[in-house]
Amino acid sequence: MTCHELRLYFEDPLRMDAEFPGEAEHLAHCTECARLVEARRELGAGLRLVRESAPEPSEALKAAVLANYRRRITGDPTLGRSRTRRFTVVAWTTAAAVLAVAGALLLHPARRLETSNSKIESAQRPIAETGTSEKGANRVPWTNSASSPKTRLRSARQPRRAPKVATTKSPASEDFRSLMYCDVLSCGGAMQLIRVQLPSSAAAFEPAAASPYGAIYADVLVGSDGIARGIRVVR
Amino acid sequence: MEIPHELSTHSDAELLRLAVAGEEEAFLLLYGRLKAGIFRYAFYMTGSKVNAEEVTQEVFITLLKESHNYRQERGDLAAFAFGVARNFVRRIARREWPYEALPEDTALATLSGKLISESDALPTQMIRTEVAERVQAAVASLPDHYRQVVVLCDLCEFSYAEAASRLRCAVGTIRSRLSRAHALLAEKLRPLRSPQPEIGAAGPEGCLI
Repeated sequence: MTCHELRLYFEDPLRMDAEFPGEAEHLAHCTECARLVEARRELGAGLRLVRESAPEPSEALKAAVLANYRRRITGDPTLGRSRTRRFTVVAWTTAAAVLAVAGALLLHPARRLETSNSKIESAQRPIAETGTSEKGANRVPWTNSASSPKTRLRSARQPRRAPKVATTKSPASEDFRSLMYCDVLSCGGAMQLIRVQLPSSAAAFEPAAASPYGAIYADVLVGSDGIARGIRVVR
Repeated sequence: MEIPHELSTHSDAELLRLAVAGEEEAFLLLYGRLKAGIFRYAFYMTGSKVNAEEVTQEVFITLLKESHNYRQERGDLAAFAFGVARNFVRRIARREWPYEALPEDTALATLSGKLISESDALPTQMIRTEVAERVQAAVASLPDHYRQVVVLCDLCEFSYAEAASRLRCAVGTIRSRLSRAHALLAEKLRPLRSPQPEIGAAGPEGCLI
């Protein structure tokens, strides 16, 4: 028997535990083959130990599987709503929602660029403004009369949370300072007017606007996309 | 529940068809035939009894739900179920990769419980437990394609042909992968071997104890 013969024999994984005829004589004087055979047999014994240690499926599992089966047969729609399945459904729904939001955000600037000129003109039109007596963040929808029917529909859905309409005044560019880098005061849909209180340090820039208590208020025009378009200090 | 004798002659595919039609006995028989292989495969691949039971349950739910997708000409139902189990095992692996198993995992507890019997002396029990744990860890650290064949052929005791049908590859591929996996495992387990002055004298168990 040669080393090659013995190794070929043990190449077959099924023979890991078997004994090759004449093996003992060869292994007695061949250290390399002895190591190989020893390692393979130890591995075989170890795998046997692991195999013997495997647990059995519990009776609770059988009961659960059978309960699922019965629900399916009786037509219970909740069958199969496993954790994994629920996770998949939630993941797909989230992904769809994210895509929808991303699509809306992507489409919106395009519309804004297309209609920027007309929107600048429309910014001259009157808007409803909050009463001067109200402080804080009262919101008044700014209805753009030049907008498309779709836009008007969306404007109609805006919550009217400021019933006190005091005056009608033009938000012309001389009143509002544009906060946009390249697109002055234009917005695809309705805009909201929000009154905010500025930090008292702003009095350094607008001393005439400071109240006796040092507070400064400003109106901010916010588009339907949540981006501030313009600001006007309340004097 | 008593399984009618005539059902036991049916093939797995026929049992599934009957089960979907509402025959609970057929479903129970099918469960009895497939559960052990699926459960053991999932247990060795995930290292957790809880996960193995989850996979087994999901496989049977999927079999009922997706029975119309099963094509008998593409393989037997056990192979189809194994494919489903394999997908669930992968999902669990993806889900749990950030976590590390605690040492008091039920798998190890069961392992220790089964290995320790009254007839064994304590040192022997400890060595056997340690050997089993190390071998299991070594199998778990193998690359996936080697691990699959070791789990199927060595631990689930499938034949080469069965393993080849489940992994959708040739029998020769299974043999070569298994041989390579054994070489890798032997290399990984080398520190486990104690120096043996009488090399030829020790048998398989003698090397361990």
